[in-house]
Order: sequence, then structure tokens, then C-alpha cells
Amino acid sequence: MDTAVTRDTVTITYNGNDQVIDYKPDEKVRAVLDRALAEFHVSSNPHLMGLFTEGNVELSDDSTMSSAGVKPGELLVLRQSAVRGGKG
Amino acid sequence: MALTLAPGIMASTFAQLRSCGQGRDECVVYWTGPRKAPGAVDSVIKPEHQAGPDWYEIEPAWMTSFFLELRRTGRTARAQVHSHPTSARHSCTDDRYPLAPSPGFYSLVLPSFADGPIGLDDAYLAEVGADGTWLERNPDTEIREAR
Repeated sequence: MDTAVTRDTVTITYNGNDQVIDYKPDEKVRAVLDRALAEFHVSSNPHLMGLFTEGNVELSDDSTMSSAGVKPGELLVLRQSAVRGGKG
Repeated sequence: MALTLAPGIMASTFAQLRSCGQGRDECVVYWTGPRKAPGAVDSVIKPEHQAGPDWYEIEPAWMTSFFLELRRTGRTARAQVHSHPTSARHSCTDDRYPLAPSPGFYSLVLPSFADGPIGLDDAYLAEVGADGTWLERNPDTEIREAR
């Protein structure tokens, strides 16, 4: 008898590019964020990056994907928590 | 991957930095191009931001909407370009808080609030390397203007 294995996925977009990432509902957001950073080859200052909903709500790293309200198939945005610069 | 600017991009960049900064504040723009045309830059985007004589900061909600717009339109940001009040270099803040800290993303800094001649004289260019660190590049060889 075959056992159907279902995997939840989210699409994560970063600077115009997409990656589809598997996740488990009880998995911490930080783990999914780490996989996204690896897929997009972001290796510097990873603690400055976050996952955001299309409505610009940041997902707490310590939440689980389900408690953060993430639904399978949802689109998330990977970006710096802050973008700034200057001589100072 | 060197950048190839469509005609008018450099002039538009200087015009926007000057107009926004008014010779007293820094300003920043992003160079974008079609995702499927590596290195191509055909648009200059000025973000919603706040700035002072030696700093700028992007409006957080704008960043999310910008990335969604790039996705929707099949485009990507290839470089950030910002002005400094005096000489051009990459500060610690520039190193830590770029728009896209992934390999191949460029950061161009223009001196004197971009009030000098339009071009790359005295500009500073850096690129995110494979290990995520910033590498200084020669702007004259990495940035070409299409005729």
C-alpha cells in the first residue's frame, strides 16, 4: 500500500527571484529562513534578514510556521530588516 | 558580471541624487534590469527613504513592495547607488545594510553629493563576493554605458 507523503511549501521571493521551500507546520521560522538564505546564497549578516508577508508583517524567528499563520502555498518576501547607508 | 547601462541611466542617476539631496543630504537609487538579461540596467528607481547629511534609511514597507514589484515584472535590482557628502568609500553601515547582500550585487558610491561631473570620476564601487564579503571593483571596467 502506498503512503502518500504531503509536503507543505511556500514561495519565497528575494530581489525578483523565487525559490519554493519545503516546510513542516511545526518547524521554526528560523529554520525556513536559514534554508532560504542558503538557496539565495546570502551568507553575510544572516541575523539581519527576515521573512515578511506580502502585507509586510515580519515572521518571528522563534515562532513555528503554523503559529506564525503561514499557509501552504503562501508567498513570502526575504529581505533585510533594515536597509541603510551613509558616510557616518 | 559587469553592468551595462542603457543610454541615459548615468545622467538620470545623477539628476535624481542631486534633486533629492539638494547638496546637503545623501540619497540612494537602485539600478534595475530584466532578470533574463544578465548585467543589463535600464531603470533607475528612487526608494521611499529618509536621509541626512551623512546617512539614509529605506522605508521598510517600501522594501517589501519593491521586491514584490520586481517579482511581478520579471526584474531584479543589480546595484545600489548612493551619494556621500565628501569622498566616496564604503562605510561599515554600507557594508552591513545593503538592499541585496548576495553575490554579484554592486554598490556604487558617488562623492560630493553627486554634484560633480556626470560619470565615475572618484566613485567607489564594491561587489558582494561569493563568500558574502564586499570586494572593491574598478568602476571603469565593471560599468559600461551602451551607446
